[in-house]
Amino acid sequence: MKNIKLLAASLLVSTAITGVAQAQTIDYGMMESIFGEPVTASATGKPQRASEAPVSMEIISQEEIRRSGARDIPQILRRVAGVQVQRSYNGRADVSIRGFNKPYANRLLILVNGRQVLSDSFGQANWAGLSIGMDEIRQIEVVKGPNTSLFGFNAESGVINIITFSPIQDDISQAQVKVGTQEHKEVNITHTAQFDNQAVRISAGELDADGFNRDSMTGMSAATSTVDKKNKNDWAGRRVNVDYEWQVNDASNFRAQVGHNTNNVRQMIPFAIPSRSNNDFDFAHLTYATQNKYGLWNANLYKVSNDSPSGTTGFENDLMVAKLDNLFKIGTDHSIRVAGEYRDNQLSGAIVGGVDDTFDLKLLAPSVMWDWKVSDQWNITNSVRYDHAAYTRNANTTFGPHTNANLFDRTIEEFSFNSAVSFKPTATDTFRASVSRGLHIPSLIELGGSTQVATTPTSLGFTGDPGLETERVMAYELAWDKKLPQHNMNFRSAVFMQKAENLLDNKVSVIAGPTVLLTFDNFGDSDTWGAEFGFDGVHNNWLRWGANYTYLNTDDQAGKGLLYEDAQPNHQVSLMAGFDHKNWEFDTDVHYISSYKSKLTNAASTITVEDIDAYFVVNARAGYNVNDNLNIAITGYNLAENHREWALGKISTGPSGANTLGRSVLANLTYKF
Amino acid sequence: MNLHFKIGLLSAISMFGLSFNAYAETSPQELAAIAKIVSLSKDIPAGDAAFAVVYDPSSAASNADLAAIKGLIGDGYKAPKHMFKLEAVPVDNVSGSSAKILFMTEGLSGDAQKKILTRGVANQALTVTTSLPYVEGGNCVLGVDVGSGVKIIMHSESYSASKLNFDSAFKFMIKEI
Repeated sequence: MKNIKLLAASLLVSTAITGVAQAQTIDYGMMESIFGEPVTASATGKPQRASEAPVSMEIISQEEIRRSGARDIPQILRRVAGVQVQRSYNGRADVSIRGFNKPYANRLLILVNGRQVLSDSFGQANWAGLSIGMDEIRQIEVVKGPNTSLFGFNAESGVINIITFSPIQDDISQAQVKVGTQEHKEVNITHTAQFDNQAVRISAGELDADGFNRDSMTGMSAATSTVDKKNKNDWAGRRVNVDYEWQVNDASNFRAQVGHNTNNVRQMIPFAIPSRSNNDFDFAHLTYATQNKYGLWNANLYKVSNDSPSGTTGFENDLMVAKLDNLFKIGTDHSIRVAGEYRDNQLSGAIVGGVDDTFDLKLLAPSVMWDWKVSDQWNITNSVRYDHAAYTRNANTTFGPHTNANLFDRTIEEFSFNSAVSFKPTATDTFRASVSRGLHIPSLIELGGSTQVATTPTSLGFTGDPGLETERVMAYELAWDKKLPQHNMNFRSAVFMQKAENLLDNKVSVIAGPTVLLTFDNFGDSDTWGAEFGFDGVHNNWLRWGANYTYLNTDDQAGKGLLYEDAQPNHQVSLMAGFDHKNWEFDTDVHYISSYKSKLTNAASTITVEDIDAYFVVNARAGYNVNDNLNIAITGYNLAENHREWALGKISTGPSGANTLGRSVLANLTYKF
Repeated sequence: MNLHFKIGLLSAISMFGLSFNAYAETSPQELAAIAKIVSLSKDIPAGDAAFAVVYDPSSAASNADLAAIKGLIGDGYKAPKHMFKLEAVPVDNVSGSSAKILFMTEGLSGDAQKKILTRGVANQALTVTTSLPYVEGGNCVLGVDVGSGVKIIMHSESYSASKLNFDSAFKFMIKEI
């Protein structure tokens, strides 16, 4: 509470000394039209043109999202070089950047307008848990490589910052209905109401579909005999989002966002165990931006609650974050950003021992960024952040090897940094060299989980390990971007090296009882190097196209059983194309992913691996604009072949099923009003 | 029409064409960018706005640029927050202009540039050009050049002297000198 008061005081002080300048938040649409390219603040915290960002990043526009017909965000992310998307069910995918993907992937930070939307209990992204609709997204900014020094500890492999339309600047109002195979039924509605200097956008949606493809299910007979259809197959959710914006005066902008999502999604949890998960997400996010003679100030205060009432693994996670940053210039060439973040993250419920048990993290993190425009050709950017995390547990646990609450009272102190040098020898060439240190501080469940999941037929438990070390990544990158205006084409390339240490992963062991214990451990170090090449352009003013290739090569160092060197595809190719013909729109994206191995926990409660064959993913959409307001479209997903992207495990309790992904087709009707 | 006359006429047209094209007149893309940038300033009230194109009658380049902008603006140019109304202002008359946007044409002398900036500072008006050397020389606040990329530069001292207030995010995205 004391910190909230401090934040409020800061806001008041900032308000009191305003009065010299213009609106503060980025008008993305206006800036993009002025500079002829997307703009972003996700690379350094400073507003800048995408081509000048000192990191490898790609920006996916609303039009690209719409034209793709993507059902969810992971589907559109598959188009980006360096991004690994592995889908376990129709409504569930795990996403990583530059390798190290795993079930419940938690090395990637997902933000909506700067607000963390992932569940901080484990740090994994529940994509079905977003309260925004796909039509509200202005752009998705994909930052590749560690960016912990700007965003904090989940930004170990990268950041995905989803920017929604501004209610004041963008009037988005439309209704959408989707129906299709896998009993897919979905409705979404978005309406914006604009007044003089205030605006509000309200959106809501509901979805009900099968998590499996019925035609391609295998291995389900045992499961379906004991589990009803609804529990087995569902991918369902209901959401509402309210976004209010007030241009207080020429110098200040206030935004309040609240949302709710409740969803049931068939998914794969750590240990590759299939599970049906019910989650409620609620959030409230206040943003205040203002400018005075001391620079541009941004204050963020938000709370995200994730309630997962799932029996012995049920939990309630309440995250409160307060952030204040000040961006200012010294002279004409130096931009400085000073920021402070406080977070209070509390996990309670069965997963940490019982309904009255809590495991709490309080974190304080100051950071600073310095951007120096040395000359028209050279630019240097440096940022550093210090994280002080203090964990406490309120009571002894009754299960597992770590029962004494004092074992969980620990402090983690870490620093992270990003340094980059950019060189623009010509108007069309940009070279970058960068080095960065990223962190994944163990999540609350990885550190503090403690629950007995089952007692029959064998005793099975799920615990964290309070002795876990922070996972660290040192990343080195060389990149070259080139514009080819004479061919209406862009080229991007990067080679990178990542040295990860103390990698956290799943471990199965047996403790007295005997009890099979599912827990976590630091498994040692792993090095990855890779390369990304991509082209995109417009041919003869009609054919939009893109092509990219990703190569990954991982070498696990001697440790306790790491498997990343086999568990990620070495080769990944994506091809995209789209064109218009009169009122018709045609788009397709094709992806090839080479073979890899998938780690799982088998029925004997030991960890093993299965081969995942190379596969193609082909998506295609045909749309017809009946008039300016009405669009009808049909979209096919995974049209090429039935395939698996993960192997599913099976523990001694509960059902399991195959995760073969099959073809889906959706009809889509969109009406703008 | 005899052959010599035709050749002479073609030569004249060609020469005119060459000389006309030798100047980098303001392009539609540059005017569009300026219109949007103007909307980021709180110093120019929304609605009808006088867009003063300051030119030197004795300079062919300046006259050519004026002609190009006249062609672009016509009876009015719809900007995001403004409707630009063109006023052609000879440089010797600029001190009497009350326009809040002073556009500096190509081909102006250093003294002419200074005279326009002086008026801009006195009237809290935005001085803007597509001729970047004016800005680099400290005689104009804002320069916009749209070629293979978009180059926008702002002269920091002239900006402060003119008491202008631009969107802060925009200022982080341009080159300040």
